Parts: sequence; structure tokens; C-alpha cells
Amino acid sequence: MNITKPFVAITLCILLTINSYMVSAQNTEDGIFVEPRQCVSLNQGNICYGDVTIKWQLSQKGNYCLYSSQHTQSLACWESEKEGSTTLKIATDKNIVFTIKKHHKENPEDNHNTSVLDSATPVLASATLELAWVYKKNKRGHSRWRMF
Amino acid sequence: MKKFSITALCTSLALLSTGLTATAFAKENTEDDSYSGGFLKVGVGYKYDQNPFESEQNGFAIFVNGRYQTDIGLFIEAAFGANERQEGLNIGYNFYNTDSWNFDITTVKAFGETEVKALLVDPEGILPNSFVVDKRDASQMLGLRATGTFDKSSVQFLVAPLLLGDDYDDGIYASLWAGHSWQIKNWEVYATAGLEYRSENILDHYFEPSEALQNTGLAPYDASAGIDATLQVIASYPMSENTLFEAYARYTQYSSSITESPIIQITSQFDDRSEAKKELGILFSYVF
Repeated sequence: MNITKPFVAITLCILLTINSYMVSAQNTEDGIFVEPRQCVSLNQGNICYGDVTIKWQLSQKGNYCLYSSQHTQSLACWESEKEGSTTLKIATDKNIVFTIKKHHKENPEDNHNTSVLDSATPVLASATLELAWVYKKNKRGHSRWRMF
Repeated sequence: MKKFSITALCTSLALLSTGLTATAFAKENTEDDSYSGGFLKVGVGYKYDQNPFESEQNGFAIFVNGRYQTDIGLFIEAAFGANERQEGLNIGYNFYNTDSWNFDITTVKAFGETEVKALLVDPEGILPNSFVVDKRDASQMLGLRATGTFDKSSVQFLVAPLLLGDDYDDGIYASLWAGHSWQIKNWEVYATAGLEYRSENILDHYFEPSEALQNTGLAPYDASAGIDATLQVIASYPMSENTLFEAYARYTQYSSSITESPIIQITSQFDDRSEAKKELGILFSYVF
């Protein structure tokens, strides 16, 4: 059997998939950029796991903190910076919104590592990590029957 | 038979894709509060399959899997590429549901088509050698199916007492399957175990050598009812919203009624065959 064509097809399939991951935000404008932009689970409702890299940049230097919709505590803070990045391990069954806010240094002893979310502080930039899935959940399991 | 299979495949693909196109598959994070809808999955990859019925397959394979159910409960299911003995196109009607159970009337392939080819040799050497070909069509049957889903576990019972055809008197095909899935990070591992019962009528039809075959030297055989046992494990990893990497392994121990048949006693001794079914597959799939 000529196995060249099938392997070319499989290789193309792999490359296309890798490419879809690579085409993520490499943006030079102000804002916050999440990579990858989606976390994909097999079934709707499953917890999705992944490593997410978050990059942000603003026009002015300052003290900023990164927050997510999952936590009230900041994920990371930067002092006197206008850009930064961090990588996080996530586990979620919902979209996650990441925001950058100005960090007000109230306590001189504050080491800027963490901050509690203050809803009154304006959001300077935000981005969403979307949760996606292959099989939408309905009242009938998607694939249970296929094994039978 | 191949032509029929290809026609059935194309028909099922067309029907499934029509149904899927008609359904809005917006990825909103809301559960679909209905039984209608479905999916179509087309995969390419590698398959190793050794069994007593066919020559070993070891190479490129195409896998198609799909299901679509209408609002009124009519459904179509297609499976090609894996599970050779039962693959094909099934249609049915989902007539009753509870929170955990789905009850269907459905067609099912109780056994696949067979073709036995044997060499007829004149012991006196007067007549030239010739082949005896004995063909049996697949057994499409109609039955009742109950599928229970309990969180990560599922169980399925099926009883099919009606043969859709007149090749032989109605037999009974029944199956019992149980499965459980585990999520490990974004991987899903799904294991199933199953028992399949075929009554004497069905197995006699496929494994009792015809007179023509007996003339080639095969011994007479009267098959009894039998139960096949299968274990299967599949691992799936979502690479994107529409693409999956999957790997599976399957092992089926056929009933003694099958393995003791003179036909299988001979075919299972061929170099590229075995008495049990051993199947492995690695594939990349696109889910529509």
C-alpha cells in the first residue's frame, strides 16, 4: 500500500492544528493579551486545564496589578513598569476575564506582590480567555453510544 | 457489498451534515435542554486490526462517526472504521426519556457480512481445482435499546428479536455494555466492557458450513448460541474546538460457538489472523 499520501494528510492536519495555536495575539498596541486565547475541553461542562501566558503593555509607567474573574486577590503586580508578562496554570469551567488595574500603594511596607480587587478602581485593560469544547452538552451524551 | 457500504457511508454523511448544518452550533455556554442535535466526526489515522474474519489490517484508516436526532425523536447513527462487526448505519426512534435513561427503537447490525472462499480439489485429479464461495449478508435487526447515563458512567441494554430480511428465521441479538470515563487534565479516558449474545439461528447462519463448503472438506457443524466479550479503552484529547487526537484499543473474545466452527478453526490459523479480535487505532479527527 502506498502510505505516502496518508502520512502527508496526517502531517498537514497536525501542522494546521499547531498553526491555529501559533496564531495568537502578537500585538504591539496597548492592552492585555492572553495566549492561547481559548482553553478547549472535550465536553461542555468539563474543567479545562492549561498554561496561559498573559502579556500587558500600557503607555505610561506605573504600579499595576493583574486580576482574574476567578479570584479577588491579584495574580501579580508590577512597580514602575509599563509592560509585563506572567504565566499561570489555570483550571476552569467558565471564561476567565483578566484585567489590569492601577495599584494604589497605601502602605509603604507593601511589597507589591499582591493586592485585593477594588471594584472602584478603573480597569485599564482586559482580555478574556474563552472556554471552548468539542462536544456541546445536551440531554443525550455525545459519545456514549459510539463505543457500543 | 463494498458498493453498498460506500453508498451507505455517503448517504449517512450527507444526512448527518444536512442535519448538523440545520442546527445552530453556536458555542454558547448554555446546556442544550433537548435531546435533539448531534455531531459528525471524521478521522484519519493508523489502525491495526487482527481477527479471524479478515486479513490483518495494518496501516492507514478512515474513521467516521456521527449521530443526529431530530426534534421528534428520529435519529440516525453512523460508525465506520472501528468496531468492524457492527459498523454501519443505524436509524431509530427515541421514544421515551428520563433524566438518566434514553429508550430507543433502533436497527442494529447483529453480525456483518461474510464471504468464505474454499478450494475444491478433486481427489482423483480428473476435474480442475475450483473455488467454492459462500456469502452471507449482514444481519440487520430491529430492537429495543435502553441507555443509562450516570455522571461519568453509562450502561446500555439492547434486545433485537426481529431480522430485517428473510435470510433465516428471526434470531435474537442482545447486548449489555457498561462504561466509565475519567478526566485526566484535558484528556478523557473511556473504558467499556460488553457482552453480546447471538442466538443459535444467527450463529448457525454464519458458521454452519454449507453443503458446498462441506464438499471442500469442511466438517459439518451445528452452532449453538454464544456470547462474545469485549473490552475497549479510548483516550481523547481536544486539540481545538473541532479537532481531536484519539487512541483506542479493543479486544474481543468470541464465543466458543464461533471459535469452534470449522470455518474459524481454519481461518484463525492463517498467519495474518487470530482467534480473538485485537484492534488498535491512533487518529486525528475533525468534529463538525
